[in-house]
Amino acid sequence: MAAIHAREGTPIEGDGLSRPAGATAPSRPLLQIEDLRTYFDTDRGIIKAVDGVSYEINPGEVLAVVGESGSGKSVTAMSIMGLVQSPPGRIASGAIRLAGEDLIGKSEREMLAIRGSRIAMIFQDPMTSLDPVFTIESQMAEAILQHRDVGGAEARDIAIEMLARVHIPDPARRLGAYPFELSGGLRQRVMIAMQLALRPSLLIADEPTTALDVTVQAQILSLLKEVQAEFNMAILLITHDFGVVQRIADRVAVMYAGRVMETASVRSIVETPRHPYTRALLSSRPRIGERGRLRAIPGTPPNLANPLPGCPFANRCAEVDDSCWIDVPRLRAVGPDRQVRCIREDSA
Amino acid sequence: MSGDTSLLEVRDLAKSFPIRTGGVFSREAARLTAVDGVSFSIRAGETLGLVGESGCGKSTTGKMVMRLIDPTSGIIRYQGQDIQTLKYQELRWLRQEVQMVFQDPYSSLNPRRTIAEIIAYPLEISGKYRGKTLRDRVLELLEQVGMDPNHANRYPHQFSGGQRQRIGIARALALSPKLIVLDEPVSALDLSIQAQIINLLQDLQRDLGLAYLFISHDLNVVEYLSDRVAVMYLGKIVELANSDDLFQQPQHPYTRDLLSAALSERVRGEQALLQGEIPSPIRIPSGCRFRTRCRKAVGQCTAEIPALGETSETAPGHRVACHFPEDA
Repeated sequence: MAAIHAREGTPIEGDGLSRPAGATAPSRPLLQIEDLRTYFDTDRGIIKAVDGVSYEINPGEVLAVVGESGSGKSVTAMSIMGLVQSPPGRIASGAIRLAGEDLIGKSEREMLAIRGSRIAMIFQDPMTSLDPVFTIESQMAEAILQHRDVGGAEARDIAIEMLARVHIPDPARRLGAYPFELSGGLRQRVMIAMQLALRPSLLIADEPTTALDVTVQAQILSLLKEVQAEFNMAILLITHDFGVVQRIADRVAVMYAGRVMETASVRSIVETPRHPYTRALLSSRPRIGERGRLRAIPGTPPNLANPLPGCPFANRCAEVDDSCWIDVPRLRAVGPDRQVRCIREDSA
Repeated sequence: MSGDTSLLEVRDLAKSFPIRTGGVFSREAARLTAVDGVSFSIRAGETLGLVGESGCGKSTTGKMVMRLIDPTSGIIRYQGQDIQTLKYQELRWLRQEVQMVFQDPYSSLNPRRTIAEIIAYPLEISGKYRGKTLRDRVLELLEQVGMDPNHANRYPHQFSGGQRQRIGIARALALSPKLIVLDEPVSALDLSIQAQIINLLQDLQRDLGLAYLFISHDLNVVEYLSDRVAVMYLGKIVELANSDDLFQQPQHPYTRDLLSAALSERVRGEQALLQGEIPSPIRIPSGCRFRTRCRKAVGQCTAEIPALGETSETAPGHRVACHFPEDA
């Protein structure tokens, strides 16, 4: 296991995270994750679900974190929210700074105040995140009353206004509905309205459209983009789907086996992917207008309890050579706002 | 295409489910129409893609083809035989000829059986394999789907989702079927694994001459595998065409919207989104069932149900159910 880094001050070695002084960053990042390690103690050993993840999100920016199952993208989000269940989970090291303030080590009370009002989250399945026995009104009012200094009547007005903002027809009538009476698309709209009511500066959206039909998915993505601009809210979008990324994200972080492999703008990632994993992932997609054989990535992702030494992608990489098996490559800045974790970028 | 060359022939297939009120005086309050007059055919060695959003009736259609549920009306003929009329022995024959692969490789494999036992089960029931021939056939199947035969005695939980889907495919192949109903076979898989399974399905089709009924909501995947594609909406086929014709010259407004939603990655930013959601299958709109979301709908669309037919604009075999199909 790697040494635990000092949390304050010193930039993380070689990770190229801290922007050079005078670089394009207009302001301090809203959220900064530095060398985060979230481990799970299981009877199969320690699962290093998140193993040195660093990324940052600027105010009002949409960052997409892309990865396959087990890449650690959702566990990183749960770590930000302080929702990693312990035991078996624990944050072994790293920092999660919201507007400069480290969230790790905050008490549950402090986190309760932050969750909802400053960081909100929506999930893949809105049915399981809504309480089936309460009406939309009572669930929205509860959240609004808890986080905002308003009375009951005002909370109702805010709820109606927010439902209208997410284009739910006849919002006053919908307040009386129970979750099961709404379609999947409407439920996700209600979830978004609920989070917006608290005016968070960061919305974490974990696969928000994966369970929805393709036409409804397009509607929800366009809604997210719209409210993001309107409320100047940053979005951390967790997804496995490059189609979703290309629709709404500004920047992308590609994760694999608990690590960030590459970060760049959406355009750069799609047009000139530099990490072999990013390249392989992009070319394994079936795409309309193309037929024939797909370029599948051979093999399966590594066992996180018992990883091999070297680059976690080495066993599936088309460009692997002997040097890949020695050490985990560093996430290295290779251009403005672009980082790649590949040994070839070290020698380049 | 004439009927006698078809492996599978589906005519005017319909399925509706009663919705009952609760309580002591339970009665039928409404009917949910899942499939409403669907016709198509599949030739030997061909893949027909069945596409649509949830609730369009594509899976219900697949289950009726498997005779897992009975249609309310309509006929399904497999090699000319009406499958509703098959008795015990003939049904066993049908079960060998037509197999199914499911979406969720986690819930469709018995966790208490080794994968060799899972694959051997249909072979044992058939009575054609025992002892060494059984063992050899299981190992051959494992190899055919790209699994290591040395892992034959492991249990499903020891494999990843993609490997489990391979096991499900091996089981479906066991009795050398001619038609496999694939119900969202790659929807639960990660991108890199999805491509492996799609390639495997293509290889098996080429090597074994299989026909597929490929049910999916994902147009990208459907185009990769399908020779012809049928688009379903609220229980009806709205468009049916060769894969190339359908993707290059979609005629039904719904097909167009579905395609543009799937292609959205390339048209970033504002675009015409299909508004609203699919109406309830309990209260299907009169006339054309897509009219409530269609940009082109006029009075005629409310009054008349459009028939699925060829138009002067379309290539032969390209059929569309719309009063005002898009220009080619």
